[in-house]
Amino acid sequence: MLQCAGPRGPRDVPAGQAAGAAAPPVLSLRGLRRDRAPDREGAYSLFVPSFTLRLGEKALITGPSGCGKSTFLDLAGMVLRPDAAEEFLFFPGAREGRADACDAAGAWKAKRFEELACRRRSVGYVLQTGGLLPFLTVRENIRIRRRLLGLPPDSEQEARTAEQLKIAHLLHTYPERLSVGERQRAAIARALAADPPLVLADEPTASLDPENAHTVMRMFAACAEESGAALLVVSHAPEQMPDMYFRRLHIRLGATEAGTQAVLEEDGRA
Amino acid sequence: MNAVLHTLNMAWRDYRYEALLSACSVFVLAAVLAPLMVLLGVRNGVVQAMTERLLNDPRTLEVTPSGSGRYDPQWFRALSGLPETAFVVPQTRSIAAVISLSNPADSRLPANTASLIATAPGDPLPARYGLPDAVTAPAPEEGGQPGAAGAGAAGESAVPAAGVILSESAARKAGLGADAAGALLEGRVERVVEGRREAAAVCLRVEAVLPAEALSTDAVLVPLALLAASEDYRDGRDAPFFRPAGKARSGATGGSASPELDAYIRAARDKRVYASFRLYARTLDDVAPLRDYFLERNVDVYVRAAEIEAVRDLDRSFGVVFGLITGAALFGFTASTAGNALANVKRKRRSLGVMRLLGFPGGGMLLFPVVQSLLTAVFGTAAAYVLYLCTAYGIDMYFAGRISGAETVCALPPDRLPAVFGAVLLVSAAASLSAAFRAISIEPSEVIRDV
Repeated sequence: MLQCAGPRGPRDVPAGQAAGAAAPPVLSLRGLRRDRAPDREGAYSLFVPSFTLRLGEKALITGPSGCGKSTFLDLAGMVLRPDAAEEFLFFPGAREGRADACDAAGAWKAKRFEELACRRRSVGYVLQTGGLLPFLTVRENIRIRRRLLGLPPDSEQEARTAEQLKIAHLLHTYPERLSVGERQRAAIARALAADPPLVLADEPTASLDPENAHTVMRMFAACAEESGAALLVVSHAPEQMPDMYFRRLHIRLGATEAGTQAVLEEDGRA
Repeated sequence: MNAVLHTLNMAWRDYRYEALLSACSVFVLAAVLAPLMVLLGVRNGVVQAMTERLLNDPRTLEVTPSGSGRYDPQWFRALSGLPETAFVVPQTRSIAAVISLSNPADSRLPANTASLIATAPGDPLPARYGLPDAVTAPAPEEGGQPGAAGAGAAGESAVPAAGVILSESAARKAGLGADAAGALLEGRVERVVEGRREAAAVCLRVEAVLPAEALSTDAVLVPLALLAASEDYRDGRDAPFFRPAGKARSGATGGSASPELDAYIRAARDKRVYASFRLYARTLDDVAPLRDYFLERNVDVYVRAAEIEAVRDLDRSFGVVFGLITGAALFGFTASTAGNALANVKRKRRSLGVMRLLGFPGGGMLLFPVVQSLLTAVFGTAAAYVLYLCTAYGIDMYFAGRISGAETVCALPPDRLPAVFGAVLLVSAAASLSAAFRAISIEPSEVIRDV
């Protein structure tokens, strides 16, 4: 089952629904808030009361268009500064069993941007469309995260993932020569390279036709599950998700005096 | 640090990937820089050629008093202490500085009159032509090395010969060629004492012959003491070196009396008052200050200041034109580089945002556009230099027929190249700064979803 896990991937992490309270946390958020245009018409605020993601967990966030799903992913991926955060911990060493946490809330507050940039190297991020660097070949794009982490290239894992995502024949091609679907698969391969403890995906298949989207999403989920990473996917079309267990969350919009307030909630509790 | 290097590599990969666009910016720079290099080269070449032409004329640096005065050793000490002075040697009245030369080896040739010019070690005139400058006074000890041949040729004198340098025409008239070093001549001076005409002779050993362009008159460069002795003799005083003509006595006038001769040579240098002098300025720029120095002291001098000033003027005018054109080009280049770098960052903002998302360091992002500008600067300067070399070759070919000798019209001094290169690098880096700050301030979340 754990065919595509890297050499450092823990083999004993229970995947899918088995990821219970025993698995170590990868992300722990409390009281996280991000405001948009707070003084103007259309003021909006995203609030995350509490959210913890554990190694091996797969979470799916749904919600209407423009509700702030991407904003949440950017917050979780440490590329967007939160306006308030009681707790924002990222555990880059979760896979290796290390419990040392990166205090992202503190880093944002103290403007330690380089520390955050450094931590982002331990996060895989799949964008809606590609996001491959056009001046690098597919293989170089895939290797870049390992390079930034100072790790040597892992050809074996690279080949396995490429095989699984059916891009092995494209490794020496530049992104501009790829189809949209091939680009997405290459981006997924890049996100999974270097065995990140956390993989974020923002509508990873939205730019594909439904059939293709389903296939790619299944490949992605399978690879992520095998790698043992915590997976956080945002989608406005949950019906495209493969038949796998996903912990489901959604962003609920509500009107307040201050404008629109979006709150991240677990499904089933709403 | 490693991550920053990775970012720089990314800048290089991006630069290479967009080879066509990069080449365009390289050619833009080359198109700006090559004409400037050619202009700088022409300015240098022309001014250098004219300067060389001036410097090749030994009279350019010479400062000559037009009248005669009374210059004591103190005056000469002050003169040689000036930073502008390269060389100064006293000179007697011109009326006393004539000698009649004859070649004892070829008695058919008539004796010819030549003027005596004082020289001393360090004289730039022979030095310019690679000739020995240390024209020695006659060696104090008797029966010197000129030996039997010298003594025999010059008569019965045992007085050692004085080393001299002849001008080309003086040598020619004495039947000597350019390779006359070592030949012996007899010099003769005359005086009238109480109505009687007297003459005295000195044996001169030719050390070297100046080329014709160095000195166009019949002249002999002699040690100062010999010139002083000639003046003394004419004035009716006792003089060393010279023996009365026709008297077959040897060494009567000082050749053997070395302490006296020594004293005489020292006095000629340190005590005597002279009517004139020969002075050379150190550089072209020193001529005008020296002229002013003499003007202040009411000494009329003849200098080539006007010719020098003409070249200086040309250099300055060239400099102004060059400065204006450089200023305009600099402005254009800075604006185009800055604009290009900004447009690039704007165009690539998604890639830059993705790089930031992937965790590339801020310092690297800052350097991304700077490195690309510097790459353009390096390749652009190289391309401009190649263009310059071709143009310079063409110019030199075209003007080769009109220009004498080895002078080139277009010559960029090699030591200027690092300065040009450094300036281009600096301007390129500075012009890409605003792009650099834009690159580092890119918010990934604002650009990574652009399509």
